[in-house]
Amino acid sequence: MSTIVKTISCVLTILLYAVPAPAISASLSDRVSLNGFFTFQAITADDVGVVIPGILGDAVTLEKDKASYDESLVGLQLDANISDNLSLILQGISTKASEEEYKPTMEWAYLKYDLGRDLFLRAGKLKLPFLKGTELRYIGHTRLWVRPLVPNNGAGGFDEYLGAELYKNTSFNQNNITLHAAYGKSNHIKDSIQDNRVGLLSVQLERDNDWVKLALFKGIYDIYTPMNTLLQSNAVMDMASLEAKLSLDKFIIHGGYVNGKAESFPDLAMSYLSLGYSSGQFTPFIMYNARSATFTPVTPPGGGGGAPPPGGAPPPGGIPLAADGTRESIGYSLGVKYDINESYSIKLQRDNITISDNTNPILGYQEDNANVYTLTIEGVF
Amino acid sequence: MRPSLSYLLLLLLCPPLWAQEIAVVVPIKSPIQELTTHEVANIFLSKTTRSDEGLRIKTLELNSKEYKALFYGKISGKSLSQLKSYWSTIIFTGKGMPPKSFDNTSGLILELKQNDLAITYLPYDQVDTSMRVVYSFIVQND
Repeated sequence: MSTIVKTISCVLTILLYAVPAPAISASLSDRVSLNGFFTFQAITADDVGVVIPGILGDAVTLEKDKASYDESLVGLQLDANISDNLSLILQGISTKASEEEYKPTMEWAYLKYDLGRDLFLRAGKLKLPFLKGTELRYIGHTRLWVRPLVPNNGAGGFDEYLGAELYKNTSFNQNNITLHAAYGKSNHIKDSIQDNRVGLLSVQLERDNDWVKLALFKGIYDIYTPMNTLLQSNAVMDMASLEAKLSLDKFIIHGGYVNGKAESFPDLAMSYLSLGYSSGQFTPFIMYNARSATFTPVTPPGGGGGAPPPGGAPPPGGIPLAADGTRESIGYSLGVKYDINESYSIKLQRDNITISDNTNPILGYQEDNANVYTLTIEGVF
Repeated sequence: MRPSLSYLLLLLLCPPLWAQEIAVVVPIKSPIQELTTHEVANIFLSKTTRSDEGLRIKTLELNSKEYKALFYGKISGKSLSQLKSYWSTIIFTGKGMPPKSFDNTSGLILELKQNDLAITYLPYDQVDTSMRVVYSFIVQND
């Protein structure tokens, strides 16, 4: 815990001396504006080799009582109005690649065309708007928690895509409705998943500070073995998500559920529920989240197909490439967000995470439990 | 001093309730005639970007925490902190930009008069004959 104390001292010193008054975005001209965001994050755990989904990566492996700062990042977004209807948007982030190096990446790069009547077309490199947290995973200032609830794989491993998207804002009885339709080609986080085509439809209903969002996703892809042999072509993944935010006086409730069925890939499920209490600059919160991946055996071409019978040998030529079973993670979190001002906030969060896994036929059922402590300073400028 | 007497004195010393009227205004030549609370919220929160005629609306505002808190609290129920979080969500998903901000009223009014499709909000006493009030509300503070 001494690491956490040192980190807090360091952070408070920085805040006292370095944090200026609320900054505003820079309008370089009437047509060009520049906005930025940052996250400074220190994480530690009380167990060895704890793995959590991070902001940047699919998994962050933590060492016992040693702080990790690898999830810290800074980002910039440029919005340039080329004409009355057309604009260019670029968003890049820089993360820590190693002790001394920083790695910049372009996260969004697209053209946006205003078709009128609050209908917009965007084309280029985009993020799949499957969950609220998918598009905003790097902008911690927009959420209550220290990290997104969804891993960086977005929708079943598909996060960003090259393609086009139509969205429309409309109103109905004092409610705002946003409709999204997206289609494109996406890189999967696993190299074995190739030639991917992804499509998404979503609808969001919003009123004042509350909203509910439903999204449907379909991915079609080819699966290759590690030796680059085609295992299956045109495999299909279907996913659905339902999320909502509800404000009741000072209470803020967030909840969400995701379910996905996939061919030759684990079926995914995720749920979360959080309750916050907004009391001036402080918002304490509690949260529950659970994720599971249910694996079914995959056999190489020419295989006898199917899983071996329980306790039996695999069929000739049909050695499963993936095990059978479920990998599950359940987390209970307690934290507080402190708004220094409208632009900067500090968050402290303690997660108790239990990971169970019965996908390894040799090791059998395994379970691990650990506490993870995270301190975050975030802001937009 | 007895507690009841001190409370009475405190009440007598408190400033009286005051009310302030805030007006949403457009240039007199603007095609916008009248707006509801919902329409005002949609325009200033970048959900509606064009007039019924299909012309792009330009939102302007004074860089004043006091007026922003009163205005956005009334039209959308958002606090300044919630507003900043909202704009972060909108900006970084490329869905819009906040109103153009001005440090003083004279600059704001000058810009308003130069653009028929501009819209802003002002204390009612600063509205002049070159502007049309399309929405207004009274704020009471205690």
